[in-house]
Amino acid sequence: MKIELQNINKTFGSFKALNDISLTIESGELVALLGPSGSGKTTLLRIMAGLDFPDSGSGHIMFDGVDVNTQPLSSRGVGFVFQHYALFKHMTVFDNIAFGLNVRSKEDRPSKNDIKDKVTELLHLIHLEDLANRLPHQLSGGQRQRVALARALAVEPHVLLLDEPFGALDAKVRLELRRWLRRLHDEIGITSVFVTHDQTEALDLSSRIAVINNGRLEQIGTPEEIFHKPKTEFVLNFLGEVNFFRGVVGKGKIRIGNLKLEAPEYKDQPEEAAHIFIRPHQVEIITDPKGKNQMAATITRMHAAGSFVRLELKTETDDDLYVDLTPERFEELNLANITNVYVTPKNVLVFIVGKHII
Amino acid sequence: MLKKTKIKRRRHVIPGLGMTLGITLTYLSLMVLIPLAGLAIKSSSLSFSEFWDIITNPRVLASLKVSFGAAFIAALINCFFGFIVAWVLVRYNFPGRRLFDAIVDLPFAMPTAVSGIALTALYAPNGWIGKLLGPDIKVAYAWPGVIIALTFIGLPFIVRTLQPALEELDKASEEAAGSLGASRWQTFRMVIIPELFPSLLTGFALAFARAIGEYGSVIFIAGNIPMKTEIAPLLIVIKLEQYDFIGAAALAVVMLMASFILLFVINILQAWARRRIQEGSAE
Repeated sequence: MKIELQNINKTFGSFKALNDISLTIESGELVALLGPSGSGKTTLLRIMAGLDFPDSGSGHIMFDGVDVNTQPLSSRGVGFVFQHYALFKHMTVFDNIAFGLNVRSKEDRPSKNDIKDKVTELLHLIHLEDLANRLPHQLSGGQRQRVALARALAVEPHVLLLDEPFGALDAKVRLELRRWLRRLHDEIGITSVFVTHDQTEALDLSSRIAVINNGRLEQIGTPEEIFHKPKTEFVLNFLGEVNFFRGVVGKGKIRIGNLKLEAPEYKDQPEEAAHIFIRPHQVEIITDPKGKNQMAATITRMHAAGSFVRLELKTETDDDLYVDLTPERFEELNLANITNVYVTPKNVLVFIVGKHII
Repeated sequence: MLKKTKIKRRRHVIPGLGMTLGITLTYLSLMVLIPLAGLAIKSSSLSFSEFWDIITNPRVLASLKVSFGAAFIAALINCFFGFIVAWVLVRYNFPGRRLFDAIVDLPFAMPTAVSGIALTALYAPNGWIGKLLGPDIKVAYAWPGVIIALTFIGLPFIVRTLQPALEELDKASEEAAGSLGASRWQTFRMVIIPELFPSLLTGFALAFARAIGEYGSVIFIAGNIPMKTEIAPLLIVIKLEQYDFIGAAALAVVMLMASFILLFVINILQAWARRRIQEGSAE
């Protein structure tokens, strides 16, 4: 089901939680709402579900072109998965999953056998066939989350909304469950939206990411677009580590201290102060200088535990610079015995006082 | 002895287990167990048939029925209205909420005789409410009067045990029920009530136990008609006034046993209910 949000505003007292958010989610998509805590992403999700409502008179929420703003929670056909699972503690796994079917009115309620078949099918889907008669407190966190998901899916919702679905789980389970959810989504193809503050989770799982900050939609796009072509400094900073420099851009050049980079796209512009960002893996390190587009730097710290070698450097402009090198490159340069090196960015992202980017 | 040394040897970060355990046991013995044992010893001077005669006396049986019956009904009424009071106090914010919250404790704090006199004045045939009810509906000096007095003194127990449980209730599970299509009534019946059930039982047990032993507030409003509205604690007092100490002790033992068994059963129920939702490992 296609979800359209138009000009959604939400205020709590004097706090503006959501500020004029418009967003379209196509049928069958898996979209991440990504942002720091307090950014309003959960509020937005709750508004989609009907657990919260936009400020009166503001905005529309459309499901397949139908305005559902006035529709109550129970009739929107939305499956909601809560951060802390919100399972019914006194019910078995089976009864939890069957709940949505059992509460239907007599005419719509499937027969006892049909309910049993449906629950068994879902138990199979979440790989918990053997635990049907357990109570929630007898399950691990990951199992509870899967039960919560099965419970939401039992009523065959048109939309699946997940609030920080992996937030309360430890790292390993989180990764497993993330992959499992991805596969599940590919199988059943239900339009899904999940909230997360974890950028790797959003990049890994979603078909598109909406980055939200201070109640505003900063950018929406595919993980590649968001990561490689961030539209705002916030998005750039939020998605992974990045080195920050103050510099000057214009007349076909990007300058950081003595470093000059060719930038033909700025050929016709006068020089302006700019914020320049470099990702740690997009820095080339050499041990002897050639040409002009390099910056001298001193290695202050390095550690090699992990799939790449992390170097911490101090540049000649007295800025901190983090660089990630492959272990092979690190060996090749024999950096273990050298402290003074030269760096060249392979790729930079430029923001001219909150304006445009490369 | 062996157990004792074991307790001593185990090292605790929090100090004072040995001492507090000693104090607790001594205190419990002095305040509760020794008086109860005295009671049992007193009544054991009776032969069983004498004991049986005393407690199967129709007047005694009737008084026990009034005490336990009225206490049970009063506790049930309190479960219902106490639930509503606790619900409103926890879930809604309205002007004067804190005042109402404080008023709930009044039956605790007032001398029971004062509440008894106040209730009697209200419900007596010439009292404010008694007048409205007319001569056909008798509250004071009748069964309903006993129940009203016991309901009055039992209310705080239910409200005060339910309040914390209601505050802890996970709002998300209600929202989950709603998003799964449950109506508000279904959510209430299938999600909220089961989770509050252990606390409700605790409140019920406390209100019930208190009402069984209640004396001061009841004797004014009950009229104390033998075989009809005479409560067991009053009968004990009457026996004492007649210097029939042994008879009083026998009746007291019966009340003690009955209360004990009832509370025991309620406790088992409660433990069972609590185990089902066991909060401990839930999050």
